Amino acid sequence: MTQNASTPVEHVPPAEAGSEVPLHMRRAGIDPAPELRDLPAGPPLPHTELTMGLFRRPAWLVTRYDDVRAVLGDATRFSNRMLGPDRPPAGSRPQVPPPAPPPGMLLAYDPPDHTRLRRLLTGQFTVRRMEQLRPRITAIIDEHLDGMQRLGEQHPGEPVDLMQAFALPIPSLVICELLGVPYADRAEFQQRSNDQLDFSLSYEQRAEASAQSHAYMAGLVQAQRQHPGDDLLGMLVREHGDELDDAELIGVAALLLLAGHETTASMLGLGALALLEHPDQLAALRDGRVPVEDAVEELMRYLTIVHSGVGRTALTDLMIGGQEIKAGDEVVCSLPLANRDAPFGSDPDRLDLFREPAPHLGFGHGVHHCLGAPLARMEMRLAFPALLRRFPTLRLAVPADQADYRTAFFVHGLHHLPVAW
Amino acid sequence: MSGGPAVAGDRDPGDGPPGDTAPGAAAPGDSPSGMGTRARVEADREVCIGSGNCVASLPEVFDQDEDGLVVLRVTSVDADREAQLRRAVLRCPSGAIRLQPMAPAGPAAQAGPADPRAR
Repeated sequence: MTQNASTPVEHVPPAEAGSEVPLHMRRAGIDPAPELRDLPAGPPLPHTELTMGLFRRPAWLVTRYDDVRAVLGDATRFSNRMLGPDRPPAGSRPQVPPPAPPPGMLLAYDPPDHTRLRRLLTGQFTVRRMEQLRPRITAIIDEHLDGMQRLGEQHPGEPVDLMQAFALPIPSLVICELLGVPYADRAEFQQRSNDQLDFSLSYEQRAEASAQSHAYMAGLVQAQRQHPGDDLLGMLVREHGDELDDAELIGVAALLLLAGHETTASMLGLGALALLEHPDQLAALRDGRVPVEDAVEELMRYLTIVHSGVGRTALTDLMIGGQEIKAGDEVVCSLPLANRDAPFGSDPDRLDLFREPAPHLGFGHGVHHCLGAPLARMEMRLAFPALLRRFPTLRLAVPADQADYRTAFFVHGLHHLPVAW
Repeated sequence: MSGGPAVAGDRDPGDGPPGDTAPGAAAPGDSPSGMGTRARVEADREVCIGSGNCVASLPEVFDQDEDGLVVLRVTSVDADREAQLRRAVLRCPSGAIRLQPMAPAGPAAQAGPADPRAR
């Protein structure tokens, strides 16, 4: 269905791929960029651009906490299905309902398909299952802290890159072991994950990285079909092998691998940076004067590394934040702005580990809430205190304002974080 | 949906009692019920998406079965726990858990093993 009569936001010119970073992805260091932070919340709602797909498309930008919860919590009136390269040309209105998602791409599924597929996985990410992983995750963290210490001793006076030594490898190894992906392949899949999330690359480049990722995972799935292992992929084959075809299994596995290490790596890197910039709070966490559970929730809120999650398509005419939204309009929710909205008190832009833990939206909201949240929490609750206790004199080796931030990434983070101790 | 601004309370059903929308819900006056009252907890396993947020918030009240779906350990809590419970309700991404006020506690309101489908 194409309606050219009234595009969602007619006064926004069609954007060209590769032009400036969409408004909702802009940051000033850790904070939302001033032009984003200072937006009037509306009505009328401000606009941004959706970057999923071949070309950028105008979308409404929802910024208030309550409005974001309303959108993300409503899988009946909003669809997660994403438009791809074979969709209507720029300037035309998206199809309602949008086309079927790529197999296994849970983030682009709607209920009831989403419910069916997600429920095959939730049992693998229960709080109890994560507790069983605690000893192994602790050992993985300790191994990497040992490695970091050796690196420092071998190259005295030289900074160590916390991203490469700590933040990236720990969640990568954890998700590899959980899924059943050979860790030896990490250089390749980390590069492919990086390329899929880098919106400064062309759509074709990102699609190529995604295709390679699926081809790689197809090989692993074939092997698991022959000899299912004790890992998550093996479990899916053994217990749900008849319900899932190869394409869906490959898609799910590729998504879990990507989501399982990029996000936690970003949190560990940016979290360390934020703590190093707040030495009093770092000391409180290191010395156990603030519960690590609360500290992690506040870091999730303060950093809100996921700019928006997946855009939503309105399936019917409706109102959000006093704004009339037409069926087919696309909506982007700013998670960083929602997490610094009025409900978080008078000083939401400040990191405060002692803040009363509040229901932040750092893991999203609604049926697409992060599946791996219990795993991410476990990794962060173990990794941050272990890092701070192993290196009590940890410090940034570059000025904080020269930190090497990623720009135009689906998940906010750092390329490198040079530290010393 | 109505034509008015869609803000607090105008969203998916089961996302908490009306007016129970601010994450700072632990503000003074949050727990109007006096001593001796209890609040009833309800969980809807059809709606649950297994995020584990409730278990992370209040493990003494919430548990998960092997599929990750919510299981209640108790069906009611003392009123002095109500603020914590309200936060857990707000932290539930799917609106699967709810809190209902109850009459003053009688013998029948003792905490005990719960029917996970208690509705």
